[in-house]
Amino acid sequence: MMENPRRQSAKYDVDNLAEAFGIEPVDECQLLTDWLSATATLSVHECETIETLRQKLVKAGSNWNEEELKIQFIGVLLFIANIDEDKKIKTFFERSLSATVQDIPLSVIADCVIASPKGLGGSPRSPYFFLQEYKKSKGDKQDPEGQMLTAMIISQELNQDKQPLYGCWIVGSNWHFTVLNGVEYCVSRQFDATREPDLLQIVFILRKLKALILARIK
Amino acid sequence: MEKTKRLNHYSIEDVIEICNMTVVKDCIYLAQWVNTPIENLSAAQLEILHELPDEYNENAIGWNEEELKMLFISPIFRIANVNERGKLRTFFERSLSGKVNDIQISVVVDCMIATPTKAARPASPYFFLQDGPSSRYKRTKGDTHDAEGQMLAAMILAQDMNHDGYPLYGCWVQGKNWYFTVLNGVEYCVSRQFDATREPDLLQIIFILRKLKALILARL
Repeated sequence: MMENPRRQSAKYDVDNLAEAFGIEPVDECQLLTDWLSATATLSVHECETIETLRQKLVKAGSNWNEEELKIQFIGVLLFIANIDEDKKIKTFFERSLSATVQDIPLSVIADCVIASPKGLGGSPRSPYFFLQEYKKSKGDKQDPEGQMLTAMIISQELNQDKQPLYGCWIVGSNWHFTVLNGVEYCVSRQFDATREPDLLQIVFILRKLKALILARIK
Repeated sequence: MEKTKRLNHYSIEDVIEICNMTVVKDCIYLAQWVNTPIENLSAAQLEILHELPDEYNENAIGWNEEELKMLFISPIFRIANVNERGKLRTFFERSLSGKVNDIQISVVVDCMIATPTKAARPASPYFFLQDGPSSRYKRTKGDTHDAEGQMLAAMILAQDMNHDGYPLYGCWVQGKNWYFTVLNGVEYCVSRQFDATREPDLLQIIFILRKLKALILARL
């Protein structure tokens, strides 16, 4: 039996996903602007750690594989961003998500999910933010933007709360933040984590996630 | 006809038996390594260190292997700071394969400390760590995800690759428990259990990892 071409093409390709689910790219998006304008005060220790991390990325980043990028860099940034909140927000890694959306079965393994936990806290209940990373360039089967958007579409279906979903995809040192609000999808400018102002802004943006998520689950 | 030796499951029992290793109780290399004295850490490092036991006790019940690595093992390595520019690097999720005494060994190493090539690939590996979470995702010894078996297989392979007569260092982590190991020729020895949610043990783990740097640099 032949697989439905609509199902096949929807997988992980951002253009096909947009077509299959009627996603509209939007240039101006207030939710994204508000999120990206985040500011925060960092301790001396945090500033030192961030600068050490930046230098490490500049010197060694091009030789890291995906796992090393995640452990040596992304994990540390998430630690400094300190997004988790007891019993309310948890960061998960390598978690499977699946749902059938408009008759199309979707599944993805998210590199990083920030969600409210369920039960004993061991698995995500309502996901709010997704991060996908990749070392090479966009456009192949490993397109991290496509995987991230897949996870966001699945979460809209799982959450059923019509609230926006936040995302980020990373290729090497370049970070792109995204918001999916209904069918409206917007993408930030590129933040280059090897540049000091961009790296600081990435930390502020990640930290702001906590306030954004807490505001909706109160 | 003699059956070909194969390592299919990398259980510690299989690796010891098939590769003809000898388990040794007392080992001077291990004692010199794990009994290293504790020194001072910076305020920033202590701040992170104090948070780790709570992080584990509150959240580890639901962690998968990746989360154990990202949220618990990784900060410990960051504080330990084993890397030395141009000489020593920490690598994650790297494949190693080869034949030792006609036994095919092929493992993906969770973490390895090695000298880097000019292209920043692992050249000579000296330390391997394999992790396996506890709790609901627990893998017990003897199955296909036996962290100790995989670690020892990697050490045997590295011993053959390095071919320098020096001992190889290893560690396997099961949830909060860390076990340090040394392979010297065919002699394999394992430390006591270090519970990383207990602050004295956690500090000792940091300085055991730091001592690696000195031990490896001394042989280069």
